[in-house]
Amino acid sequence: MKMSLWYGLLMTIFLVSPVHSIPSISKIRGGAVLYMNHCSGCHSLHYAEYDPLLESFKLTAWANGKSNRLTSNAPYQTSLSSEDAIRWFGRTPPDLSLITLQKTKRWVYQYLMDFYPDKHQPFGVNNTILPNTHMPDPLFEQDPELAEQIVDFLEYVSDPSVLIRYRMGPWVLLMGFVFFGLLYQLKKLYWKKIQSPH
Amino acid sequence: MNKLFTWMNRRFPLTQFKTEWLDHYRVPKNLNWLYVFGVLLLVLLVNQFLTGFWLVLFYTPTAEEAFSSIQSIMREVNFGWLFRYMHTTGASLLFVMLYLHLFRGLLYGSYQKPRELVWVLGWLLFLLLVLEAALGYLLPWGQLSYWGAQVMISLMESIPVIGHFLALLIRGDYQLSTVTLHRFFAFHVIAVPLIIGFIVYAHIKALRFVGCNNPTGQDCSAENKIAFHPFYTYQDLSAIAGLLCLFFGIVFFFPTFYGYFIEGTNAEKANPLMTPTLISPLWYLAPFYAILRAMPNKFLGIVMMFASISIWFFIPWLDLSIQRALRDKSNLFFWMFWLAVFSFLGLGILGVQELTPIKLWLARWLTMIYFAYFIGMPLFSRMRKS
Repeated sequence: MKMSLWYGLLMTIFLVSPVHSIPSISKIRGGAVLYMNHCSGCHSLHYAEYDPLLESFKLTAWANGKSNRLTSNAPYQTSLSSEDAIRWFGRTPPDLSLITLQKTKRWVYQYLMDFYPDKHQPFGVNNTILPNTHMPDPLFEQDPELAEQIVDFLEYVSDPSVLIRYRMGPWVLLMGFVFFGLLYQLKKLYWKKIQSPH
Repeated sequence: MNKLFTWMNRRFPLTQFKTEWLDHYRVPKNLNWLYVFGVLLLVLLVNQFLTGFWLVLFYTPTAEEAFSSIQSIMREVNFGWLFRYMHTTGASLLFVMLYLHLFRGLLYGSYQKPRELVWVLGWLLFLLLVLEAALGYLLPWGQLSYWGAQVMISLMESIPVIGHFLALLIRGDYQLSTVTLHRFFAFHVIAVPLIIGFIVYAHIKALRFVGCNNPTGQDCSAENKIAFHPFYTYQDLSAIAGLLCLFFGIVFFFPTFYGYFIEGTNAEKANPLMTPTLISPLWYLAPFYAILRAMPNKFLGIVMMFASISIWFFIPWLDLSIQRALRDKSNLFFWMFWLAVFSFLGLGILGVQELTPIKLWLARWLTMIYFAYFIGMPLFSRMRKS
């Protein structure tokens, strides 16, 4: 009995804690649009090229309506050449398709939010998380909601399994619980035979 | 059905196998929950084998393709993410269970006469699993895979006389390349698992031959033993179910486990021109890495690191006490045991962190305590409990 209580407690913690960070599809879509506006000019998303969910957002058509910057073959490939990037920013902007795995979601969010004015920098801004960053402030007004959406989008791109994992996980755990409960009761039933006679 | 079994049993000892392994195997009736980790290790090994097979179907072991083939497993293969996360989580949980299994053995003196060989085979399995983990770690071809392997091979290089030849033999090249990756891949999926399989069988067979120890550490009389099935089979099965809850809790919600099961640095493709700022070891090798790093000289560090693992081999002969269970051993033994456990944990915590002068000092002290437990064992195991 005591042991099953322990497991119950442990599993409740498991079940409750990730609920806060489940990314919603609408947030991811919002983030994708923001990403196309603010980031895709310089950063590629190499591994997101064939993602069915992103495909369904029809971002290419949407973005092409606004400008002809993107070609439909490689919507997540930046058209900024490496030579230009080095000339303008000092380095090639990194591919962002695994960024939240590399740096964690929290780091990316903090990075987007922690720009501050600094006259000694070429773009007039500096960053507390990544000092002397080469990137200009992409969000200008540092709206936490925008940053959050972009980060949700990037989390999805880094690991598309988040959507299905968080949806399936509780049911798998529920099955594990039931499985454990039944077997543990069965075990107790068998052990009664040798414990009670005296 | 019965006819089929009779037909079968005349040609293959199927029923005999069941009676021999489950019904006639008699076990002390006072085994507590610390005795479930053996079977949990077996379950995790099978998990590694099955998920590993699935990964091999889609993985490409070349320097150019390895990293992106893992990304295609994560994104394009149906449930590829599930199998990969089961493999990575399984590897880490395997070492959690392994250390707990080992802790149980030390606590109840399960290595003492007549179970020395069970212990030695277990020690061999530990070495093989470390090797298997280290080999597998190169396969994703991320930054930490690459530089971790670089560190390991450079350790080989510092062995006098044969070092350079050995490193060349392992790499198959003058730098880490596709050739090395192929080598590691072949050992990781065929050679080492095969040997592990054999040794696991020998470990279990040896245990069943000499019989299972129990928490009192006393020899168990026949009337205090019960059949393995159904009593311990159901205890083990419920433990397996508990493990699965923990396992899938991690797989579905914390697959990277805050960067300990899958490191963030490894989400970057290997770049031979850029060394990561912190090359941290796998968390389960951190104690040994901390010992290596605490030594002022590289070769001495390697010697001490290998000594810290090899010394486990000798425990059955270092411990001269008549009593098996820790609670029956001398007070000094008791305190040294817990000091060693905490120094091992402390070294583990230090091993994954950046080195500072204070941490270096601390690591050296903990290393001394760790070795004192083993070296002093012949002395304080001869004392009587007061």
